[in-house]
Amino acid sequence: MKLNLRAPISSSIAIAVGFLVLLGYFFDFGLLTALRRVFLQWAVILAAIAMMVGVANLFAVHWTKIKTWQAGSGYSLILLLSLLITLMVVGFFGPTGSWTLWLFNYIEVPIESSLMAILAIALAYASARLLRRRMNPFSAIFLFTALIVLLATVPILGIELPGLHGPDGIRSLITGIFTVAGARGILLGIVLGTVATALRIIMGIDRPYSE
Amino acid sequence: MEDVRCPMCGKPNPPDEEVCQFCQARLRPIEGFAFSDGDLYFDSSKEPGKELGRDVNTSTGPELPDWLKSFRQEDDAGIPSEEESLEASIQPGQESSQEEIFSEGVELPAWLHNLGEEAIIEESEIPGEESDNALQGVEELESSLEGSIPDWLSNMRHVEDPSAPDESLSTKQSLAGTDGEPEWLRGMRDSQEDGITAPPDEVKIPGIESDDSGDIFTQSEEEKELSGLPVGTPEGITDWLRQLEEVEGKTEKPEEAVADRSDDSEVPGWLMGAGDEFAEPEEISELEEAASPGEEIQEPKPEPIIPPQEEEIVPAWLSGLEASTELILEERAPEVTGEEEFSSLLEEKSLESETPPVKAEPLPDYFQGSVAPFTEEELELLGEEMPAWVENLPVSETVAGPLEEKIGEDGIERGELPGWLEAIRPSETEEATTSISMVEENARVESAGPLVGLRGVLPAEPEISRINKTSGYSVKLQIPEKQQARITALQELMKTEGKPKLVQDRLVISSQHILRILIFVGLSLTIIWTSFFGGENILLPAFPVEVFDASQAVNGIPSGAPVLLAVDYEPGFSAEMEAASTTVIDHLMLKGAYLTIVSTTPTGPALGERLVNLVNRRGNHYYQDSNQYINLGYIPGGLTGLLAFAEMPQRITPSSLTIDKNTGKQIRVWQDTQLKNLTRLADFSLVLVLTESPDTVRSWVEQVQPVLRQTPIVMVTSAQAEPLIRPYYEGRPQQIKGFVAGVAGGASYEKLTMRLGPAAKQWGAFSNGLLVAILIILVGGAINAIPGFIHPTKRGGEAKS
Repeated sequence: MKLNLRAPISSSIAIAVGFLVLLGYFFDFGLLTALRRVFLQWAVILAAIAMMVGVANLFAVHWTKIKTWQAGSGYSLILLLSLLITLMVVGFFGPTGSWTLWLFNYIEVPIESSLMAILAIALAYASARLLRRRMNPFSAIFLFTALIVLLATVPILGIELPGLHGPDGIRSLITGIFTVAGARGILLGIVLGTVATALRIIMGIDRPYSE
Repeated sequence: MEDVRCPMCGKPNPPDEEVCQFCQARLRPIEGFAFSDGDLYFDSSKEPGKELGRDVNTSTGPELPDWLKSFRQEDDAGIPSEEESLEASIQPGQESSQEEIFSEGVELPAWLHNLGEEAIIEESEIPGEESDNALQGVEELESSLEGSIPDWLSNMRHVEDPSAPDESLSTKQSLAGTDGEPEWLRGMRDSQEDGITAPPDEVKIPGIESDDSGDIFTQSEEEKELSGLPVGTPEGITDWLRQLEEVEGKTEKPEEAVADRSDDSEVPGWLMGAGDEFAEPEEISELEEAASPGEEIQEPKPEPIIPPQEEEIVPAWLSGLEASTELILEERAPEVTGEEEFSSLLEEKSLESETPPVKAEPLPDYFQGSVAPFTEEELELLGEEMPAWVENLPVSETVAGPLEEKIGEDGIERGELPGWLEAIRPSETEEATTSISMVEENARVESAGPLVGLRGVLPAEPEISRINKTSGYSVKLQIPEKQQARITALQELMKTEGKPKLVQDRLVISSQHILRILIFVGLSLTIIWTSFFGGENILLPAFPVEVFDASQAVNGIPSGAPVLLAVDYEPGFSAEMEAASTTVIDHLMLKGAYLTIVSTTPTGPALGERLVNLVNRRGNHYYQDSNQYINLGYIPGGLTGLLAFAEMPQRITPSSLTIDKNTGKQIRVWQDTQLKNLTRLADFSLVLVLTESPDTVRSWVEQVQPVLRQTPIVMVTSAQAEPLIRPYYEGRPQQIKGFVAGVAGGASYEKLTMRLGPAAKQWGAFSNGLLVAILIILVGGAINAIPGFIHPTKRGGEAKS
């Protein structure tokens, strides 16, 4: 009879490690703390290796595209060239070298900032067409709230309107009550979800590490 | 033509005379019906042994003598119907019913009564193949006839069949005890005894000749009908002969009578078959021998085809009468037993039916000498002088002579049919047709298979087994116009399916493109114009509480205190983040804090270096690596790495990214820098987190803040993360000491610290650009909302699409 020992072993390891780390939060024992820290170090190392593996996989995928002349292989070539150049520059000059920072300051930062500028234009355009695409009360409320917050963010022609700007303004009301309430609800939901997920993994119900 | 000799007086008469000129006797037999008083007639074309109809008793022929009418009346009174007789014959053990026919119908003389009983018994007892029983029946019949048959009949038999065995001879002699024998019969007998040898003849009494069908039930039925009834008279036979024939039929066995009727289509053998080649003496002698007791009865030979016969060579009818009596008795037993004989008899029947008609020729010489027994007129007188048993004979169905039908077909003048006979003609025709078809089917000869040569074989599903040529069908469909139109539409659709659809060329500049361009142009021009022309005059925003708390936290650190600076934002947000954080970092540099740069994003270390250099330039600081700040680099693992860093920063980030220029190695942060006294994060004076992501804020608050203890956390975030940071700030106890959100927060912080920086410079452009964006949204929203209010349905449908 063929036994699949891989799943039980991996599940037992995951459950044991998670349980020890969790106990280390509640009990300040030296052994538990030491084990927890060892596991954390291993996790950091494994995450770094995983990132390196990810970079290698990215390189392989785009290399395959270039070899097979698939669609978009030109972009893959640019990506690989950029990767190799950056790797060589950073490897030769170090992560904080002048040429490394030059590449970063004059290539990467402007590119990403431009994308964010485009995002600003796209958001303005989408807000203008929001009622055309979805004409309902919730869309109207959403658009009205956004306009109020924007107007209250900056003074209108250098003038702050009472009831709109200031700590007692409508913006403070919206951001201090509605926004915080919503954000706390979201955060609580996230926390509960995280706890539930952790318990399921510790109990072996969820095995994201398995096949 | 020769003269016609009168059968009564023997004198010649002209051929066209119907009645004798001398004795007024009828010279020719009455045409139109076979028997003067025959209720039944028999058709040659009919299936043998099957009756076609009955007479109509109410209608009496005009020429019927009274004594025959009396027979009919008696028949109506005492004779059971034909169907009743048939049922009686079919059902076993019905001898009693037949006896009733004899007993109840008329008062038969004793000898006839016994004769009828014996005949019935013999018929029921004689199986087809048991010839012994048949012989026994013959003996019994003959014995019963002794003493009861009139002498004149016995004498006739004795004279005509001198070669018969002794037993039969004795019987004949006993029958020949003739009292009251007519003179003419006596004369005939004398003449035969004088040397007129009757030619051997297969004498067949008309009307009672053998039935080809061989159906025993039918025979018994007809036998009952014949018993005690005048036998049908064929054409050319005078009435007195019919009477004599009648008597003979009564003396015969019933099955004989039935069998003889099968050949009623032909001329009676006893009258016309004389001199025939079939009636050879050998054959008769053989039959006589076969009928003799103690010998096996041979199966009767199939009767050959009877050719036309001439009356000149016909032997004496009386000799044939005796011979036929013996012969038929011998033939009956095997005839009714063998079913295989049926087909042969049918064949004979068919052949005999083809026999040419008998011409009414003058009587032969031997007959010339005989004296006609009666004329019609004498018959009436004779009725008074008839013996009692004749008068009491029941009028029964007799076999009608099919001869009349035959003759009629052949052109011989028909006699007048009585009304009762005409009435039954239609049914006769139908039955005849049916019988003919049956005969033809039975005569079919099998041509293939194991039954080759056999007749009457039932065809083995002829319609199914018949191989026919496959009929051709038209493959052209009849399609209505409506279906044709649909087919055409479908064909056109299929044709267009393979063709590439023409894609309409998009307009290079559409309304959406225009709108986007307008938004871009409006915002860009506003920002550019504000940046270059008078943007600085715009009033800075009032500083909020969180900004104030953030500045107080920075202000609260001691000079040269280690500050953990987490640069966890993306390069894309660098403009906003730098505008918001530059003033805070500048504030820290003013405080102389030892900045320890760390990041949980891969680009964080570079951004940290960029930010320090930017602040150095703007704030005229001279922060140098490893002296005033240290870059620990990237912490992999996300939340896990952050937790690990929070718990054991020395192990996670043991060295900096900076290479010692003196040693050429990485600087050991926790040993060689100002951080050598630090063992945990809580030893840092301040933790400043620069991030645009709410998740990163949450990670730092959840993973690092618990280990910081009294060390405050200040957040510099993007404006988008403000809503999620605020709960940590507004909570009690505060998880973050203060935060600066976006350009507005940076401008506020600059305003608070009185060190205007990039945020203040951008504030004018930011404000004007934000106002333009608000206007665009308002105008665009109004334009797109108005049609929705006018046509809500259409807009809804468009939204779905």
